Amino acid sequence: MVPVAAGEAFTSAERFEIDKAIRNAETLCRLEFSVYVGSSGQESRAFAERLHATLVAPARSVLIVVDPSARVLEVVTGAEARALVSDSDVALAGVSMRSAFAAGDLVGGITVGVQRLAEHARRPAIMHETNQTN
Amino acid sequence: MLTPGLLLLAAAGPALAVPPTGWEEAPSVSPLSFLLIILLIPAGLFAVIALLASLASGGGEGAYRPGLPWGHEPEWFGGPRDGLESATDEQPRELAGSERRGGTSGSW
Repeated sequence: MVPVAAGEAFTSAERFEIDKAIRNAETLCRLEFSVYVGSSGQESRAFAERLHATLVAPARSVLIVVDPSARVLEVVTGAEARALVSDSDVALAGVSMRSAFAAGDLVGGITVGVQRLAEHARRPAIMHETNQTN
Repeated sequence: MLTPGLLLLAAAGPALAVPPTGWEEAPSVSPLSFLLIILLIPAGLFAVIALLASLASGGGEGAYRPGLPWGHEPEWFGGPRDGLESATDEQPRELAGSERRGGTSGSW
C-alpha cells in the first residue's frame, strides 16, 4: 500500500524554506504552526486530528497535513486558533495551497499556505465574535 | 518617389561585383565543416546549458509530480520530538474538545 520510502523528501534548502515560513508565521501571530508531509492513511481527517492532538498546545495550534501520494490536504485548527482563523479563511488558504500542489510545487504551496493562515490570524478579531466563542 | 530607391540600388550595384583580383582566394568550405559550425556547435552548447540549468534547479528525483506516488519518508515540521510515534502509539490527549476544532479538507 505505502510505497517504499526512498530517501529524504526535501533538500536542505527546501527544508530551510519551510522552517522559515513557519518561524515567520509564528512571529506574525501567536499561533503555533506545524506541517506534516507524508502518507495520511485511509482516513486522512482522523489521522490529521490525531496528529493535531499530540501537539504540545493543540488548542492554539494549526496543523497542515499534506499527502502527496493521495493528493489530500487537511488543515486542523485548535479551538483558540479557530477563533482567529475561521474555517472559511482556512478554506481560502487551502485553495491557494492546492493550486500550487497541483502544479507540482510542494514547498511553494506549504509556504504560501502557512503565510496566508498567519495573515488571517493576525487580523484583529471582532469582539462580539470572540465573546460568542469564548 | 521611386528615384531615391533607384539611386540607392544603383549605388549598391558595385557590391555585387566580383572580388578585386588583389584579394587572396578564400579557402573552400566543405559541407561537413559547414554543418559542424552551423548546427553541431550550437546544439552542443544548447545541451551543455540545458544540463547545467537542470542541475542548478535541484529538481531531480526529489521533485514532486502530481499523480505519481510519493516514495519518501514522512516529514513533520514543528511536530513533537518523537515525531509520528507519539501519534500512532499513544491516545490523543485532547479528543474532548474535538467539536471545537476547525479546519478544511481537500484534494487536488
